[in-house]
Amino acid sequence: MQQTFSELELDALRELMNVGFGLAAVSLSEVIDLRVTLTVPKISVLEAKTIPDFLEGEIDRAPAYSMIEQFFFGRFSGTSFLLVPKEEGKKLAALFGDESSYRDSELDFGSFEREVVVEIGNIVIGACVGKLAEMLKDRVTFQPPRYLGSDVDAVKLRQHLAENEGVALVFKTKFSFSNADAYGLLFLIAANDSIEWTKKAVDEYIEGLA
Amino acid sequence: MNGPDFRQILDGLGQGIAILDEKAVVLYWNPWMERASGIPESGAVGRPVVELFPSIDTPSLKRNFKSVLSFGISAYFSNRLHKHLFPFKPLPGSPEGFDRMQQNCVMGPISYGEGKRAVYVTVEDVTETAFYQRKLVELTIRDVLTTAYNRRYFDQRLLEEIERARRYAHELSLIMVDIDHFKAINDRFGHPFGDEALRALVRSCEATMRTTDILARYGGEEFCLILPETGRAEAEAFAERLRAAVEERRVSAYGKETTMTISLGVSSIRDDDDGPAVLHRADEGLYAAKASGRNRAVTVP
Repeated sequence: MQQTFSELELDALRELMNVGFGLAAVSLSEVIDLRVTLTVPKISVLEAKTIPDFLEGEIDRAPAYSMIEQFFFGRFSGTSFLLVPKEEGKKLAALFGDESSYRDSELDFGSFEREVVVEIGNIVIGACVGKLAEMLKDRVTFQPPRYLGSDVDAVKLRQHLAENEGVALVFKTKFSFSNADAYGLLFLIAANDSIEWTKKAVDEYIEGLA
Repeated sequence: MNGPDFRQILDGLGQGIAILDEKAVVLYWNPWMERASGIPESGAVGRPVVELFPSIDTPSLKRNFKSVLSFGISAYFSNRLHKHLFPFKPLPGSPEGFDRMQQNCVMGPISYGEGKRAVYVTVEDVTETAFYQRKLVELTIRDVLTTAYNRRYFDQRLLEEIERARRYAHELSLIMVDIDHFKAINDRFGHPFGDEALRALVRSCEATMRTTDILARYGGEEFCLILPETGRAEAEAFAERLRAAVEERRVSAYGKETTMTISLGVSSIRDDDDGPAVLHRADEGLYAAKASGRNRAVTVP
C-alpha cells in the first residue's frame, strides 16, 4: 500500500507534520499557557480495514484510556482520536479544572475529569489538525468532540471504527503536558477521499523546497 | 440576485446568538439575548462582553475563546461542568430552585470583513432539563425519610474524599453516630415518633456541621459524617458539640415529647490506611462508646 506515497513524499509529509505540530505546540503555550511537547509523528499508509488492528498494536495495553473522537472536514478531512491514560486524566483535571467549578458542578470526580479531558482534547486536536491543515493550505472545520468512554480497548475500537474502503493515512504522535506531567496519544486518520488532495499538497510543498 | 435573509432566522430563534470580535467586543446580539439578559442590542453592541458580565471572565473562557480565534476550533461549555456561561436570571416560567438560567453554550469561529475572524456564541436554555436531572439525582442519593445522603452515595463519596485528601495531603475525619436506646423510643412512643427522632438528629447534625461536611444515613438509627480537611482534635470537638446539642434538644411530635442521647465513634485517616480503614476504626469507637456507658464519643486514632 506504500506505493500511494513515495518515500520522498512521506518524508515531506513527516516534515510538514513536524513543523505543523511544532507550531501547534508553540501556539498552545503562547495562547493558553498549555505547555505541550509532541513527538515526531509516525506516519503509516494503510488499508482502511486494517486500522483497528493497527491501532491495537500501537496502544500499550497496560492502562485504560479515556478516549475522545473528533471529525474534521476540509479538503484534508478525517477522524482524530485522542487517548489519555486514566491516571493522566486525573492530573489534567487537577491542573485545568479549578476545584471550585468541581464543587459547584455537583459532578462526581470521574464525570468532572471527563469534561476536563474533553475540553483539553478539543483544544489539542484543534491546534494540531488546524496547523497541519494550514501548512497544507487548507482550512478545516470540526464537529463537537465525542467522549467514547474511560476504559477503551481494542474490542471497543473495532466496534467503533466503521469499515472504510480504500486507503488511509494514519498519524500517531505522543504529546506531553509539561506543566501537568501528563501524556496522551493522538491519532489522525485522513479519509480515503482526501488522500489524493493531500498527495497533491505535499507535492506542491516539495516543489516549493526545490 | 438576493439570497435568503438569514438574519430573520437569528431574530426569530429560540436561543441566544452573540457575535464577538477578536477583543470580545459585541458585534451582534440577537433578540433572544436581549430578552434573556435585559440588555438591548444597542446597549450590548460595541461593549466588551466581560464588561457586561464580569463573572464570565474565567480561565476556561479565556482558554477557549483564544483557541477558537487562533485554531478555528469550536468550544463547548456543557451545563454539566459550567452550569452557565452568561449569568442570566431564569426565564419566567422556569422551574424553581435555580438562581441562574442553566445553559449549554457553543463558541465557534466566524469570518467577517476582510480576513478577520470573530467568535459566535450560541446559548441554549436547559434549565428545565437540569431541573429534572437534579431531581433524579436527588432521588438516587438521598434517604427519603431523613433527607440525609443514603448509604450507596456515602460509600462512593467516602472513597472519593479519601482519594482527594491523599492527593492534596489534607486531613480527613469520620464520625459514626448512633441514637442510644432507639428501640426503647420506638417501643414507648411508636414508630412514627421514632421517625421524628431520626429527623431531629439530622436537624441537629445539620445545625452543627459545615456545608462541606457530608452526612449520610448509614443504616437504621446509625449515621455517618465525613469531615473533609478536619484533623483529630477538631473532629473530637465537633463530636462533643453534636453530642451536647442532641442531649439538649427536645424531640416533640404527635403530642408527645422526649429527649435522647447519642454515642459517637471518631477517627481520622492515616498514611498507612488501606481503603476505608478509617470507617472501621470509627465503628470500633462507636462500639466502645456504647460499651462504656453511652452518651459519649470515643476516638480510635
